[in-house]
Amino acid sequence: MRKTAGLRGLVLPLVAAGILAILPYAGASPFTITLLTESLIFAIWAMSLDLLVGYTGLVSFGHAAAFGLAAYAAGYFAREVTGDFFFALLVAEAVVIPVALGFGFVVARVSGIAFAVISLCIAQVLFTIAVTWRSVTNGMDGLVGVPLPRVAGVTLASGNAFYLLTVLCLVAVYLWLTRLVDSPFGRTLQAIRTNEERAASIGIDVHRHKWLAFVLSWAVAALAGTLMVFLKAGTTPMSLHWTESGNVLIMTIFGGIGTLLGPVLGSTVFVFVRDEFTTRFKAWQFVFGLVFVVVVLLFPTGLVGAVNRIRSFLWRARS
Amino acid sequence: MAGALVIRGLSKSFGAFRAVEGVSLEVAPGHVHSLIGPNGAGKTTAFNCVSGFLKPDAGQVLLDGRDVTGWAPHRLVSAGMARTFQITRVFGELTVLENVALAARSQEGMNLEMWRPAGSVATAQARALDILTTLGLADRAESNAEHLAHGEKRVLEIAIALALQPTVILLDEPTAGMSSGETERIAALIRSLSARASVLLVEHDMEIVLGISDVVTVMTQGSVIASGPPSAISRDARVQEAYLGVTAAVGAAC
Repeated sequence: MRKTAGLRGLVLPLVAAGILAILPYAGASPFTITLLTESLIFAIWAMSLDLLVGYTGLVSFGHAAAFGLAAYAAGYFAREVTGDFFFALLVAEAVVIPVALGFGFVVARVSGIAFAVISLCIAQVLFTIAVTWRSVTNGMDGLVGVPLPRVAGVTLASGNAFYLLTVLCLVAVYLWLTRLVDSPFGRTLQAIRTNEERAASIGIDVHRHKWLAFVLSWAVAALAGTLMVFLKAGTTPMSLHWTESGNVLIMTIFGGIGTLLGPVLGSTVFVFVRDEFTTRFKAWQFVFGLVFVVVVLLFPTGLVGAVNRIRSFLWRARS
Repeated sequence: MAGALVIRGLSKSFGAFRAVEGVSLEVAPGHVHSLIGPNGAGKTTAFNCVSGFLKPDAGQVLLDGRDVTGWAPHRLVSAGMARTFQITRVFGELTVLENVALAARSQEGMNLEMWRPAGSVATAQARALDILTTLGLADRAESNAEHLAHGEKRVLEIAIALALQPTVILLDEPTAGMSSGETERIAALIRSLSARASVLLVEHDMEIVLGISDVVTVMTQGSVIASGPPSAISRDARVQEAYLGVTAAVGAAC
């Protein structure tokens, strides 16, 4: 029984990935593909945040820190040394993981509001560095001139090729995180979310586990940041700004925390709504804000919760 | 014989208030040792100092002869000490079985395992189910813990503690808020625990304690006033004064 459940768990994401992968060849415009690429990158980022918010109960207001830091590290390396995607990713991780180890060690000592505030401060510190360290970051103008990414020596010149790389990354992250949250380690994180003292009293080293969750979350966010700097061929300090941290938090909560699928839905809806409304009127954030509030009020578990509730309602109506 | 758990000169103050002052006691292996006293006597503070949730100002805690004073709770667990909570803190959204399995995996050192599914750790699952069967909760194994009755949650608390395979188990008012029928069931359960571990039981209800304890230590106002077998304790004049005094005061207040 467990085996079939495991297979079923694989079927849905693989079918979804298959559909995503054939979209460019099924008539989706290059513009849609670019938008979709961006939303899938956000999806990876939002899933990494879900590991903290949804599974460990640590609400971060500074998740842009990991994203922007990786974007700068990967972008700078790609421009100065080589556009090889995996080398750039490696460099981004080599920068982000030590920083996450350092910050995480401190921030894992706290929870709740204190965690939110300290995580926000960390991101603002990095933002300030990005603005002022002009010789490396080019200040407010941002890092420019990032070359096209290369994978195994092949330059990904078309938007479609890069899109497929993003789909691959998304599927890999989704499958890995699904596995992680169901592992003994994942369950300890959920125990910590429920009650830290209780978790400690069954022998869980709460600080170490929160620390590790923080580092893993940043490592995944670094992948998203690396993809983004190649998609945009550069980055600006705005990638580290608190409004970006707010956006990814909204995507995650809107989609449904503690579900992994939710952040994917949330980020996709976010990107497409933003695109649809920015062209029509300036206050698109107002519209999205309203939708966000209504969804969260009606369905505290976000879009995924809404879908589940509607499904179980229809199920009952049918029988 | 050396005590499984030895407490020496334990003190803890909050500001100017001395909650616990020079408390010493020794839990012999396989004994049910009760720490009782009226509300505000400092039992819970002492309990929290022993279980690592508070750092004592002075004194020593020895677990199987090893100095564990001031250790963090998770380290105490690996050293062989398990505790329950006065206010039930089971993991509500997990199943009853998962609550116990979580502790069993922790005891097996699986907490950092990131690749296998949690449910595939067969030894932990089997041990968890075994404990639930022994405690009579097996038929609720697949229910969410939040759906258990109050009394069942208290039993689950004990099941979680047992999954940690402790040598010493600390129970914080396990019968709080229970009906008399449930209380009897828990009392019998506590008595049977002593076959697996030494028990330190914190209670304010004198009657439960006298029936199931090997040794009773009585605290008032932060200090130990008497310690001995239940028969001696129930006859002790100071204990009667402390308890009857309080009872009389409560009676007058009602």
